[in-house]
This record gives sequence, structure tokens and C-alpha cells, in this order.
Amino acid sequence: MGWMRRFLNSGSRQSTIEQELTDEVAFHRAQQAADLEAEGWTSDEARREARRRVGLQGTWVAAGLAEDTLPWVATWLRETRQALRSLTGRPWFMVTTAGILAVGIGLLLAALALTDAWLVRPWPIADAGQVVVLEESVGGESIGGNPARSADWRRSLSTTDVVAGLYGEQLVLGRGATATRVQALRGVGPLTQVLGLKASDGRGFTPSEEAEGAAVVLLTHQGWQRHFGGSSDVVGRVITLRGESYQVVGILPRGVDYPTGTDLVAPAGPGYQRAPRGGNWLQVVARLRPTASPQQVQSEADGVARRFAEAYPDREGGLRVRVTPLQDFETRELRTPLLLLLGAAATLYLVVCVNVGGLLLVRALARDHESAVRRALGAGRWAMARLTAHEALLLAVAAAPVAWLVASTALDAIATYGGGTLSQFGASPLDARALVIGIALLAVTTAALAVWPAYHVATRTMAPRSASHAVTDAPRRRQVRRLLVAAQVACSTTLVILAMLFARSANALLAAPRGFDAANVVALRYDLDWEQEKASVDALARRVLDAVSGTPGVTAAGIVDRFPMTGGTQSARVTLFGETPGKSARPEVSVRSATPGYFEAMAIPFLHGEPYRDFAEAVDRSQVVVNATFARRFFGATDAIGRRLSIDWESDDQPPQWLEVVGVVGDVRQGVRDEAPVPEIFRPWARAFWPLLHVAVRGDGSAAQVVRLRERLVQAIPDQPIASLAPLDDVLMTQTREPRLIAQVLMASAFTAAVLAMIGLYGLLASEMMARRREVGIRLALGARPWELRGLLLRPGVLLTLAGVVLGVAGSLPAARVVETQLFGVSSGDVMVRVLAGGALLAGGLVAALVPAWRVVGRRALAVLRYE
Amino acid sequence: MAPRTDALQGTLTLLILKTLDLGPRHGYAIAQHIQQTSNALLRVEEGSLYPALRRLEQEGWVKSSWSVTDSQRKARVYALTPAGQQQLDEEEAKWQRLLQGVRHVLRFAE
Repeated sequence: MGWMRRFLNSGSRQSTIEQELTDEVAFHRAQQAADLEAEGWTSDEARREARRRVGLQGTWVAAGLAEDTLPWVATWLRETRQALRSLTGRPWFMVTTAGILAVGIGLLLAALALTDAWLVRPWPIADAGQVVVLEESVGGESIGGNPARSADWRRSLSTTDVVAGLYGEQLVLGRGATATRVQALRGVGPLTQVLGLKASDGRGFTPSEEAEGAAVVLLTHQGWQRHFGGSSDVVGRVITLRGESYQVVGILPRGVDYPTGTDLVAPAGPGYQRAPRGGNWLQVVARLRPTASPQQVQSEADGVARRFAEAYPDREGGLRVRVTPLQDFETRELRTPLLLLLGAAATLYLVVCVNVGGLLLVRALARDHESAVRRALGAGRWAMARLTAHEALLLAVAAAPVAWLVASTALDAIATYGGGTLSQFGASPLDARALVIGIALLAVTTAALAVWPAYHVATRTMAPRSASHAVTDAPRRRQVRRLLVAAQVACSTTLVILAMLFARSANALLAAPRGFDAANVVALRYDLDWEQEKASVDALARRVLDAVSGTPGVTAAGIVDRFPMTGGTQSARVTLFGETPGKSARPEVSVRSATPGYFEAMAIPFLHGEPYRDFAEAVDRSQVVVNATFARRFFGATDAIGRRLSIDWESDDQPPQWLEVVGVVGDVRQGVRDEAPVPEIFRPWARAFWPLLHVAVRGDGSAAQVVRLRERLVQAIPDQPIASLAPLDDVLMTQTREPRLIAQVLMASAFTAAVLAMIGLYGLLASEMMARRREVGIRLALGARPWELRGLLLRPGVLLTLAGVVLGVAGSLPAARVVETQLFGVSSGDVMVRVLAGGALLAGGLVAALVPAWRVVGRRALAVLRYE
Repeated sequence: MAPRTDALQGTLTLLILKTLDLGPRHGYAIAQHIQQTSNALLRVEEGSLYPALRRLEQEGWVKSSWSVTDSQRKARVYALTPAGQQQLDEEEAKWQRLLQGVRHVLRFAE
């Protein structure tokens, strides 16, 4: 308790306590004098004697004060007050520097919080570090896992406890008009053991339920809230999934959300649990034994994979496996964009710190006279250095709330506008960990800001005369400031180059030819279950096409398995007629299924031939259409029409079924990041089984088109919910959202950094030139021409900028190479971008140098000499 | 903060508390009382008296208040608190034990 009171006393009560102690000493002295007077001393003598006996009152007061307060707190508060006074003396300086700091700290905090949430913090899975993914591949191509093989992994690996397979699927919950879609996580084998899923309400699955594929369900917390309103009696209830009855046995605790958006977990059906080798569609996950490391599993699994390859040479010849911790596996797509954002934020932060640190250094320089006087009066070296640290701390603290605001705004913006992988970031708000990171960042900022000025104050030779007469800094000190400014220019040059690369890449993504015309096309989607009969999928397809075609304004419509540029395709090898089947060394080609109307609806041009015929007409299943790249690559100069080929699927051992090429269409960009078109085959929809109907509807482009279509479809097909209905352009734009967002964030940071660097450069040059005013005056008086003089003054600034730009360009080469995979249509070593960025910064540097040079060699240049 | 425990500090604390046991008084009067009752054998340095009083007040053993003396001067008057009374008893007992021990040692040495 004592120190608490002393702590409080150190603040507000300090001066009161001091006054009371002074009063007490005065009373003591007066009382002593009175007693002496009573003993017969004269009044004057008694007072003198009392003062002699009592001694200096200052030391009493100080000793008493030291008991009543905590001296270091008092010193700290006094120095803070002093720093505050000196800062508030120049409010604009304080507001601008705190504002700049807030942007720098806020963006870095946002980037750090994201990185922490996704890459550093373990997921809410029990011992998340012990869960790994077994990624199987053949010939460098990743293949999925298979139930029988997963079971073999489980039996063969001694370094793992349990192995299971998982896959996600959409299921229809309930029946009829009230049915909704839910996202399910299906497990093959002991999935809940691998992921450590334990029910917070009810029970988990029993081993036999998971092995047998029993009809039981665990709800995730959000699934429970979303679909059952958090109702308390849901455990034990029987629900309908895809028309079959499942029993809810438990609810998972809040925070368990893997994969993101999962509503419920259920074992896959008995057929899947016992499926033989052949189909590969699982993601295989394993929980390590407590003593094992992922590396140990990797080396054991390598051996096991070789054994599998020997035992099943047809299907698993050349099988490889890669063991990756689950969290690393799931965030692998996220890592590069995230580290890119972090790098940009860190660079901007660095520039901000150097900039504000430079400004504080200037203040410290300007205070040299004051410091010298204080030092002469007995202030210690460190007391003077501390004052700067206090200023830095105050600025950082003043910036803190705004920085927090900047960080949360940035995170909101990324969650709202970031498409693709970045959209998941919505789930990572600023929390207690972010607060800790923020506080650490404040401490780092304070140290980074204070280090140069403190170094200056602490090492400067202190004599009041020398300080007031020093016209320019000592060369060594000038070097420090120049180094700081050059570093700023270099950092911002690198950032500008990266930003321009990404901006060009984002533009290239948008501008690259697509091979189809999305204008006036509406994208419609119906999702059916994978368990549906092919006949009912085809029946729905026919009904949808009929309904759509009957809508006024619609000129063409067609169904495809996936829209282009939205990712994903089926792939297979191709055998040409006359070749030995299955032995083709050619790479796999993309295979799409579409109704003939699709080509017209998407305005994909026919270069040769015509569309195949599909159902509803006389079905001729042996026709296909290929794209131009396929025709060129497989048939070369010869005409493709009439040639025959067979598609060899990985999983079937059927004899080849010969298909005739009836048409060649223009290349369509299938992946958003495909730089070169891939060879592609289109086959009739009727040949394929694909329950996800993507319907392209070409209309008149009127705004009411979407509304009319929806009305028409709801009326014509009341029994199937529409999964989505929107202009195709909107659907495609979401695919380019992430690269555009990254480019925008980078551009904003780069621009800010460049402006700050120019301001820092201007500040440095202005103060250096001001210090040379006398020299300028003398030179002018001796007959120097103003323009020559200006040239002389410009030189250091231009050289400094040049050095920074060269450094920045050099730094951009390795930096860009690291993020090369994220670039599209532009090489990481692009020269044009570097010329433009370097030129822009050099021009900026020239302006920053020209303005002060113009001023110093102005009309009033000679006036300086008047005071000599 | 742990109270300082060296012998002289302890003695000064004991002397101040004992003096205040007789009734509240100001700093000067405390110094005078100690000097007079010890037949001028003990003289309290003003430089240690006032910091000691601050410390005792921090400990909660004495409390102070400002009043005006007969000679119309503003003086800070100190009084013993119940906690101080208890502390005095302890310190006194400790001191007696110390004295006894020292006496035994001196006799044995003779």
C-alpha cells in the first residue's frame, strides 16, 4: 500500500508535499530562534544561530520528499511534462507526426494481426501441431486420397496414431420448400480422433460409428446457431440430410471451424468407408504419435509409398507422398499474399519511423544551445537524451488510438473487398493478442524514433559557445541524417516498383483476352447432390434450358460444368486414333462438358466445323469439339475436323471409345492466372455426369433481365432452389478481386512512402541549405551567378536521391523474385517499371532539392551578410 | 518498500514513537524532548528527523495535521496511531531483549 500512495504522491501532490516540508523547516528554524532568544541571545543573533544549526533547508526537503514519493516516477512525470510542453509548443508538428505514425503503425499492426491469426497462432484443434496432411502424388500431379489406401497408411505408419480421410460436400437439410443447404465435413475412418473433435454438448462419434459409416451427425457451433437457432433440445434429434435420416449426437465447441464454414460433421456412408482402390478424392490427414515429428513421418511414409507403388503398379506406380502440418497445408495459398502485405506494411512503417525520427533529430539539433546550457547547469547526458525519448513515447502514445482505428478499418476493408482466399480474413478481428502486438509495436516505435536524436544528444560535445555558433553540423552528423534519408528513398523505391509490378499484373489479368464475351450474359447456377441419378440431373437441365429459352429477351443459353476463369477443370489424357491406348506421353488436357448452346451463349467463335449435337435431338454421343490450341498441338497443320480421339480417364480401364472432332473453337481462358491457353476438349453434356449446373444465358443486357429470369425460373421450377443468379461479369470479377486488392494496398503504401521520403529529403536539404546561407551570400557578393550557385546546392540532394533510387532498384530485384508466382503477364525483372519508378522518384527528389535551392539563392540572399 | 532495519534507524523510530506516546507534538518539540530527557546525551539531527517522520507516516504509525501554535505559527503536529502504538510495544520489547542480551555478554566477558 505504501508504494501505491507514494506513486500517487509522485504525480499531483508533489508540489504540495514540497511546500509543506518547506513550511515545516521554516517553523523548526523559527522555533529554534525563539528558544535561543529566550536563553538571552539577541533577536538577530538567535536567527543567525538557528539558521546555522538547522543548515540548508534544501537537503531536508529533498530527503523528506524522497520518503513521500517515488523519485523516478516524479522525474519521469516531470520530464514527460517537459516533453509535452515542448511538443504542444508546435501543435502542427505534433499532429502531423502523430498522424503519419498512426498510419505506419496501424497498417503494420493490421498486417501483423493477420499474419498472427493465420500463420502463427495454432488453430483451435487439440495439439494442432500434431496433425499433418498426407498429400499423395503421381508423376508430380497431386492425386486425392483413397479409403483403402488411407486404411493401409493407418496400418503401415508407426509414427502416426490415427489416419483418416476427409472431404467436404453440400447436403440438403430437411425436405420440400423449407429445405436448406448445409456444408458438411465427411470423414472416412477415425476423423474425429485425428482432428481431436470433442463434443461440448452430447457425445462424439464412437470408433465403430466412424468405421461403419453410421448415420450420425456432430453440429459445429455455427451450424447449430445458423440452422437450429441454437435450440437446446437438438441433441438426440433425427434430421433429414439428402432425404435420409441422421441422428444428431452432439455439438462441437465454439471456435472449431475447420474447414471454414462447416455446419456439420458426419462419417461418410458405409460404401465410402469400404471403397476399394481406384477413385481418389479424399484429403488424408493423420495425427502423429506424441513423440514423433513430421520429418519422421515423412521418412517413414516415403518407404511405405514405395511399397504401395510396387504392390499396385497400375494405379499407384511412382506414388509419392508429402507430409505437411495441417495448418501450413491449409494456409499455403495465403502465405505469399499475406507476407507480401506484411512486407509492404513493414517497409512503410520503416519509412515512417525514419521520417519521424529524422524530424525529432532536427528538433534535437535545434535544441543544441538549450541542451548545452542545461548540461552546463548540471543536467546529465542521459537526462538530455531521455527528453527525446519522452517526446518519442508521447508521439507514439498519441498515435496509438488512431493507429488502432487505422488497423481495424484496414482489416474491415480487406474482409469486405478481398476476394478468394483473403475473404476468410473477415474472421480475424483485433483481439487481445493484437493489443499485445500493438503495445510491443509502440515500444519498438519509441526506441526507433528516439535512437538517432538520443545518440546525437548523448555524444555531442557540449559547450554553449560552440553550440550557438555552429553553423553547420559536423560532417559525421550530417552523414547520419543523409543515410536516413537515402534509406527512406531506397525503401520507397522498392515499394513503388513492387506496387507497379502488381498493378500491371492486375491490369493484365483484366485485360488479357478471354476468348468469350461476358457482356449481356447472366450466370445461373443450380446445385444438385452428387448422389442424384444422372437421369434426374439431365431432366433438370432440360427444364432449366426450356424455362430460360422461354424468357423474353433471351437469345441463347447453354449449360457447362464450370464457368471459365473460376478455377478447376477435369483433366484426362488423350489417345489419338491409331496410337497405342494409354501409353501416350502427352500431358493431360482439360475436359469440359457443355450443351451446344453454350458456345453461342458465351459467343465462343467456331473456327472450323460446327457444334456437336446433344440430347433432345437425335443423340450422337461420339462427337466432340476441341479448341484451337488442342487442334494445333495434336493435329498440327492437318485439318482437325473428322479426326478421332479417345479420352482416357485415370480411374477406368475401359477400351478406348473413339470420338470424332466436329468443330474447332477459339481458345477460352480457363484459369484466371493462365498465361497461355491450355488444350481443351468440349464433350456433350449428355456424356457427362455433373450435378452442378452452370447456365450461361445471353440476353438483351437490360437491367431487368436478372429479375425476369428469376421470376420465370421460380415459377417454372419451384422444386429446386436457385444457387446463384447474377451477371457473369460480377461472378468473374470476384476472381480478380484479390490481385486487385493487393495491387491497391501496395500502391497506397508505396505512394505514402514515396511522399514521406520526399518530405524527409526536402527537410534535410532545406536545413542543410539554410545552414549554408552565409556561404551563399559571400559567393554572391564575390560575383557567383545564381544558377551556378543553385546547381552547386542541388548536387548533394540529387546525388542522395540517386543513391537511394539505385539501392531501391537493386533491392527490388530479389524482392520481386520472391513474389514472382503472384505476378501475371509481367516479369519480376521488368525494366520499364524500374525506369518509370526510378524516374518518378528522381524527379521528386529534384523538386525537393530545387525548392530550397531557389529560396536560398533568392533576392534576399545578400541580406544575411548585413548582420555580419 | 521494506522498512530500513539498521540499528540507528530503529532506535530513532523507537525514540520518536515513545515521545509521541506522551501526546501529539510537532517536529521541533520531538527533537527537544529527546534531547532533554536523555540529559543531552542524545541529539537528533534535524536532517534525519523529518525524513523519519515522513517514513513513519507512510507506514501508518503516526498521522499529522496542521495547526496554529500559541505563537501564531503554522506547525505540523504528529500523533501516534493505534498501529503506531502496537509498533511501539513491539519495538520496545525488541529493544529490551537486545539490551538484555548485550548485558549478558558484557557480564560474561568480565
